[in-house]
Amino acid sequence: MTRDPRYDILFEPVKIGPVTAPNRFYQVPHCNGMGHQYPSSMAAMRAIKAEGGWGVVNTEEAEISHTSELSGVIEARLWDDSDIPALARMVEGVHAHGALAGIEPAHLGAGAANNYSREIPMGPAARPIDLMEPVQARAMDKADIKAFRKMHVDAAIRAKKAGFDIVYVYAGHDMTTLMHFLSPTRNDRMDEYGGSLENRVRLMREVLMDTKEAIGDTTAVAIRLAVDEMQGPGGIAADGEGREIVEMLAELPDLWDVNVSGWDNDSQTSRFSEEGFQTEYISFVKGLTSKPVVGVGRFTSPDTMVSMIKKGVLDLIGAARPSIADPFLPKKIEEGRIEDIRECIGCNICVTGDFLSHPMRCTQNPTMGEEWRKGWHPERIAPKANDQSVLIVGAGPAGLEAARALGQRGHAVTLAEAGDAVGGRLLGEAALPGLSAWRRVVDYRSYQISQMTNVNLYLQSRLSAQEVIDFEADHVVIATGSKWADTGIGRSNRQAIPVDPAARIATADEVIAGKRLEGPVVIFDDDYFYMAGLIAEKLRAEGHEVTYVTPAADVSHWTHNTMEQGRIQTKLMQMGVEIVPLHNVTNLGQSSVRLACVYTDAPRELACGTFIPVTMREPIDALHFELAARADAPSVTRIGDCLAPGTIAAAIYSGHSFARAFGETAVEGVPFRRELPLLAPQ
Amino acid sequence: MARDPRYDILFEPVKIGPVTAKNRFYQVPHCNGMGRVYPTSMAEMRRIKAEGGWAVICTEEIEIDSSADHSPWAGGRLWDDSDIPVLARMCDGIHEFGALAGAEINHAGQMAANRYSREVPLAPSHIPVAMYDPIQARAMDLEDIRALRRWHRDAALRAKKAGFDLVYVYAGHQLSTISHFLSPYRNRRSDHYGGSLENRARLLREVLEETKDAVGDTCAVALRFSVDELMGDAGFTSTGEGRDLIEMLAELPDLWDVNISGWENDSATSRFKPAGYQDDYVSFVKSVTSKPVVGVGRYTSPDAMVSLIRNGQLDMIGAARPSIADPFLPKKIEEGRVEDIRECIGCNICVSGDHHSVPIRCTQNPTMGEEWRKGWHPEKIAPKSSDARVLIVGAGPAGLEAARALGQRGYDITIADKASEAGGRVAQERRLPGLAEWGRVADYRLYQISQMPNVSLYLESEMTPETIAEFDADFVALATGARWTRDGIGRQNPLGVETHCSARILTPDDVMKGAVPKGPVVVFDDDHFYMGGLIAEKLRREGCDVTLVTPATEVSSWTHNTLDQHAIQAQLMALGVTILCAHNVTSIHADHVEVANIYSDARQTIAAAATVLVTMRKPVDDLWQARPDLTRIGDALGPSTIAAAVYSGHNYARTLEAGPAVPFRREYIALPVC
Repeated sequence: MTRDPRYDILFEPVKIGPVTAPNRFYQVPHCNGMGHQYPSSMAAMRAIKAEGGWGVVNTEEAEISHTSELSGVIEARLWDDSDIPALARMVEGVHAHGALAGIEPAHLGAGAANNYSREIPMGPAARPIDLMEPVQARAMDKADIKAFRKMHVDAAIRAKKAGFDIVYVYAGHDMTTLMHFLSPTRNDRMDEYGGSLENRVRLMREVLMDTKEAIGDTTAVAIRLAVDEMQGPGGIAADGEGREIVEMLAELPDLWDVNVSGWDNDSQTSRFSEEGFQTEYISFVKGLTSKPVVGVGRFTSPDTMVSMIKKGVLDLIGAARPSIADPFLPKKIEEGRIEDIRECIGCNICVTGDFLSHPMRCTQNPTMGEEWRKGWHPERIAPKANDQSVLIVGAGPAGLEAARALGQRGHAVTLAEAGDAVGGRLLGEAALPGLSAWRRVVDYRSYQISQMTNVNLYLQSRLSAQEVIDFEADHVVIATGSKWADTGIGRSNRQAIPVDPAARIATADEVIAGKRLEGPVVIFDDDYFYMAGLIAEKLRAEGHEVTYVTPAADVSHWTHNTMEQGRIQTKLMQMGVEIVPLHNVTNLGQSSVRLACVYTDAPRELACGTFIPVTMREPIDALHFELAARADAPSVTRIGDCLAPGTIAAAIYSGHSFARAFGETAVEGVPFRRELPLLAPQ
Repeated sequence: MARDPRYDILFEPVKIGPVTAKNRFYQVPHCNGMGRVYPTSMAEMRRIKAEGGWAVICTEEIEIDSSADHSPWAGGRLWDDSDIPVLARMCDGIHEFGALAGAEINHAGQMAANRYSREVPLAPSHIPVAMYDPIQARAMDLEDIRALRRWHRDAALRAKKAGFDLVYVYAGHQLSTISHFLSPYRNRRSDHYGGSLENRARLLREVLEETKDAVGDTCAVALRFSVDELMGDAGFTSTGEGRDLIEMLAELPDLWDVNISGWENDSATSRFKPAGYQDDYVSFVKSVTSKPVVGVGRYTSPDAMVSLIRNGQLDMIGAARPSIADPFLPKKIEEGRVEDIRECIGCNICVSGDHHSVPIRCTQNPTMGEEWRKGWHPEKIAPKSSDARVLIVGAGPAGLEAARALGQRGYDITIADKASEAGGRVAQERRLPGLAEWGRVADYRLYQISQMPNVSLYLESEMTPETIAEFDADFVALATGARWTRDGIGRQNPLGVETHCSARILTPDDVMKGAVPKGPVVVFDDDHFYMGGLIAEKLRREGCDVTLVTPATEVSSWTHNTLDQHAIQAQLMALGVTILCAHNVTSIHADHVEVANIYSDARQTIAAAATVLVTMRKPVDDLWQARPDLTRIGDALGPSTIAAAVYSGHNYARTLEAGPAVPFRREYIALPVC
């Protein structure tokens, strides 16, 4: 197919200082949990984005000195020349597909604890560092500022040596020393680097000019600036100092990469924001500079992209998460296959990889992070290794992905679903408040399958073991999912919670299905991800009196890793949900629950019309065990939540893994290539 | 000097199955934040312990399969043969000094989220993983159990190939699949691996037997087992199943390494437990088995060690933290220099390194983790480069360590402090409830300095720019420390807290000096390490009505990293301190403070006749302001932990006249050929 001419504008080249981007698709810098610890993985991931058509592909933040390092969080490193080879590897991969490679050198200042280097962090003022470490940053003196400028120049020169085409000056996300100097709340200096905005901008201007002088002849110099901190008049705001900074430096950089900060505002989830949510903050920038402007907003629709260009908001379409969910997004637009785009669902599972220091994962793209270590390509898959037919029971995330990928390999696939529609757990979850974008997991896969003549979908087809056997498929995959347990068993209670037989219990599944509940409702969250918080939100919105009890210290505790925790807890409090943290449930009575303080065991009693334990899920695996016990059954594999309940991302990965491995020789030992440490010579 | 004959017993060899330890000093397995990520650093750290006289030196936990992957924690790994070289490097270093090397191979099951490998974690029964990750472990079927046994056997064989003399089977700390099978609380199986203790112990017995079969001809097989989980009837107790299990398997392993679990109980801080706190739990073991028994209890006193052997409680003195604080502890006893032992203070700063996936640090031993990357030896240091005279102003942790280390180098040192007692912040903090052992930081250094004719300490000697100039030293280090601030500036309030002029504001320094306010007190903790909680505890014990307010969701939240958060919050609650988490202090008045919820901004008022602000510290740097050419060290440069101050002082001493400071050697990941 050919490109729709409406989208031609997206494929115009853009001059960025001394270099030219082949089109307007711009992967902004983003963390990925690989960086200097998994360098081959990182390089392969970036190269695949270039192959997928992104005109510019950037690194994550790259530490420029051991005096500012984030270990054990994994970013890129440019401390000295020994770091060049790993980054050069990435550049080669990006250049091989005609894209530009960019790098984001960063000095984190009071944003880094220096737990590895043991250097004292430094910043504009002597303050505790942002992390809760028992470490204070010291105030930089003139010699420090001089050294700081040299670190930036040295890093820029190393970046050029590694082959980068674009080098950043990074003042974003409330994360870097440059941003800390800009900030009126962090910078209380009395010298020429503090006080007026002109003074607070001084260091950034100097670094920008130093960088241009050092490498600007061949390399573009970009500024990444948070134009609004979303703190109102107390911080930098798009209608205040954010605008003034852009005015002040308008023509100095070769490119403006603008966004809002902190990171939790820049990378908001779909639960709390829409596509294009940053536009109102950044749209002023193009009016103040003739240089190209890039901005983000979880853009996945080519029509929206075109309108951002035509309206004069942006010159380049920035993307981090959409490029993770679909590294081939530009290519698909170019080839007139926009229905094939795997749209980001805005869940921020990717962010958790960076927070937890492992290669990032993606709900939509199971190959993310697997490009090098497993040789998985997001668009290509080996043709089938045999002619076996496969029956998949269950059309939830795992079953759909297995069917899609097996179908792509050319297998004859039958997908049988007991319900009226495909989607499994997503049918219910996407209907929860704020999660409608999660439907894309289903929509993408059901569309792909609908285009495959070798995949047949049957709805309303609940199969018994005998029916499965009678179907005579060569192989059977059980993807029947899981259900929330009603026993209370979980992390805090390894045995069932004692229950009065007259007590009323509802599971999250029953609430999602619309079961009528007797109030007041007590929700027990021993799960810590989104579910219990959402059940509380839904029931409160429906008018119930809701108490949320958790052994953790805060609501939906694990969502710190998706950067939503603050928003979730605030919302529940504003809605009037009663929150009882730091308590376990020890006993459920007829119309009350008994709690115990996790520290003192002090008991507490709450009135309870219905108790909703959100503690763990039980695999729905009866069909699997029935088949496994029958000698006349074909070979059977469990995938997804039916094997082990996990995230939707894990279910998709499980389905995809199965499809990749089907018919191939089983791998002995560790099932992926490893990134091994180098031992120093003795 | 020669060894005191009283301690001869500690230097008797001990036969452990097919191998023999040259003495009774046994470094039990301990995490170190280096492992596979900083392998050369790890190997050198262990080698130095061998040099220091430990007869057995073990690894940290070593993962045996990608189905139990602790990433990003930097432990050991033996997933396949490609992991052998790193561990062989460690063994070689240990063998250089005639010590035995032990490997704690482990499958962590539901304690591992498999964040890197993406495999489904395994457990006796379906259960969410122990961390908050949205991941559930699945119940192992019989095929999984067979695979687990095979992984153990393969890993034991690899350990043998790497050169280990001793291979563990690990059933401790609730950190291993084997321990999860043992637990009546975690094992809900109805097959022959669940139910009775005999059944729950089946997997352990099988793995033990198979490990012996695989490597037992040349390697000792040790069993690490937690005899008491401190959970009462819900778990193992040393009078119940803990004892039953040892009776059941008594002669099967070549060595019993026994302790209590979880890790926070095994490695309790000195704030909550004295040395020897595990004795009551483990003392029965020797009566049930003829095999050598090793146990721990933060032992640093050779007399206590001797009595543990003589009383028949232990055969070998296990140590993790004491061997970190002083890798040369055995050697010092052997050489009759017990006064030179750098005793562990039980602060658990070491644990925080493991939690953060960076090399462990030690308050007492600034060279820990620096052995390879900086070439720092805990006992040796380069001699002085000149006859320069050095003046150190301030005898706190940084100043004392700088004086000690420079004194060791042979420099002519004068150290002056305006106080009448040396120790700086440690002199104050050691008097806080539970922190007495922290005084060892000062005591060790003061004793060392007292033995050096080239170091002179002057107390009650306040230095001024004029007296410094008059003194005319070649080098001057300012180690003048830091003071807690009273403006409220900190993480939550970058511009400070609004304070009415009649409000009574105190700092931790005031309280440590003895201030006890009348009427209700608010302690505002925006610092999150131990100080806020300790100030609340001290004032409460002195009879004050105390409310602790913190923007964090727990008290002393950073102490999760020293394993004592739970104990701290429980203690404050038991003492009757009112706790208000997730609140910021927005203004302070004569008789109350205003606070706001960090989520909803909902306001409340709390009665307070005084407010203690625990938010940040400011360097005491008046001398530096007057003489910016002088070098600052420790808190005077950047207020931080005592460990950081000792390190700063040590670093100053190492690098004085040694040319430009060498940052450090780095460890890299291999880049395969494309």
